[in-house]
Amino acid sequence: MNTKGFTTVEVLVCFVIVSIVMMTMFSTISSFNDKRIQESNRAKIYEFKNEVTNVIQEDIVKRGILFVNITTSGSLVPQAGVPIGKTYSMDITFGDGTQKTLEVYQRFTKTEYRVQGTPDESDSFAIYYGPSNNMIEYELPNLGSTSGSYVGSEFKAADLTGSCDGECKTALDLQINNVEMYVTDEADPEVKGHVLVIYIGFYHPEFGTKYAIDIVAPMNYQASLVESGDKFATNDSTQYSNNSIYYPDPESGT
Amino acid sequence: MKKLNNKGFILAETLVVAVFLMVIFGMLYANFYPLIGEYEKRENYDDVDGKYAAYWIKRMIESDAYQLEEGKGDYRLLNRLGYTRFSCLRITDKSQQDMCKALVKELGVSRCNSAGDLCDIYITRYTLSYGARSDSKPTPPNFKDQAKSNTSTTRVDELRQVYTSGNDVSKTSDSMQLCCGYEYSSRGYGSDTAITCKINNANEIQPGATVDYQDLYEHPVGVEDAQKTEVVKYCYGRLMRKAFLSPTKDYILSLPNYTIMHEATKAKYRIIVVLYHTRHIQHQSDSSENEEGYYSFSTMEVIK
Repeated sequence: MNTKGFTTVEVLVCFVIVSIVMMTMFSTISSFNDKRIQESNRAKIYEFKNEVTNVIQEDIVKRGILFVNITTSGSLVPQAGVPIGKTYSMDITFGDGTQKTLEVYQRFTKTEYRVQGTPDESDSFAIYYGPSNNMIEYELPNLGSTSGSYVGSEFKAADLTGSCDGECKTALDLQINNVEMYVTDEADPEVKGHVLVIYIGFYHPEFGTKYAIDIVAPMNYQASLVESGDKFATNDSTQYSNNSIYYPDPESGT
Repeated sequence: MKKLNNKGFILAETLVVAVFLMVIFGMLYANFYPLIGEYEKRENYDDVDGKYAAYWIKRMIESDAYQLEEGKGDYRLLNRLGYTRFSCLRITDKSQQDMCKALVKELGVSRCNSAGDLCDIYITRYTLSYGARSDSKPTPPNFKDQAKSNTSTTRVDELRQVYTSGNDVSKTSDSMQLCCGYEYSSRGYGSDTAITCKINNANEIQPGATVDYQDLYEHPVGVEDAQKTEVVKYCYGRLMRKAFLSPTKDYILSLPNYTIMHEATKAKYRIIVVLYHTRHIQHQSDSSENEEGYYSFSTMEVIK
């Protein structure tokens, strides 16, 4: 009799043990893979957000903001035959006299996915910045979405906004969820506005609304780095000490 | 007789190897897993938004309108505590002061009150290891040691100190007990920051009652006019000491000491800016998300 090899029972037992180990490992490895994809998406969002923030903030730091003109058009309320979307536009005049424009498009249409190149009605979410005759598009990263299903061979993304009755093209990519552009105290006749705020909030099914381009910068700020002869408005240099609270040193009393 | 098979392992050998491997993997896991938490914490350290926020704060401090002068108020705190806090009230120019208040509000600087005061913006020496260690006689104390020993673990800071009638605040007395308390709003900035003052005598105020800080300065409850300055100084001094939130402490301790000063800039100071981000919460598309705000931290040198 040949005593080499394994019996049937031994093979079956080994098979069962290996199956159990693999099933346990699979869930762990699968979770690590999901984590890897999530971190990759997060890194792409950061990269995009930092790129746009740096471009705009560098202009503000180097040139200073003189004044801005903000306009919005469009609506996110569904209307028959009208693409749902808003356009936010900000014309910035800098202290050195140059001008640049920031435009943010928020569109939901029934046509194909975003067309690259010059802005048009097919664009879903887009950010443009630069001189008005030569704006550069800052393309939102393609992160994909887990919400949706296949209809035939075509993947139909979920209607995440709930406002398009299933007919909207909801991008697979990162969405621009909310846009705020304003200047604080703009209505105050004594000042030309204190602080400029540009908030472009993103939405992604994995991260919610956590990430955004959030630019806050002072207006008309006369800073030491500015060269003389710049076109900054002068600030009121009146001493204002009445409302200042001077906190004495608690231990020496002076 | 059946031939003995000497191949294979006995049970004891197998158990020893299995235990050894389990210990090895357990140690690896225990060392590896906390790194994930560290990585997630550092996601918000020195990010781009924080750096630009620190930059604009730095510009305000460097302007001539911001008071940070040797021999005066905040500078003495800098020497005595190893740090002081940025305040919009230190700006003498009215329009710049108003701009400062708007800026710290829109940036979401942590724990600023409506006057742009008592913000989580710390001004310290450029070199973070400057000063003696806290176990010796410190003048000034080491900033990192201060952060370690003055951390509050909750969002509501209650500094209970004993105050006496008269100018000597170190002695106890049965006639009056003063509690200095400072409540921070849950969102880090808002109108509900105040000092809660409880006097343990006939003028007792119910717990939880809040007194506006400015009002307390003008009319401290249950305290004679002659003593009110002492009350404010004492409470403010204690408040300045118990300054750091736990995440802020973690950030400060993670920073290098910056012992090499840039010859070109000769920066004497450093700021640490803490932002509390909440703007995304109001734009949630799904109200069930119930997100909390999150902190971000950044540091920058200041030349003044």
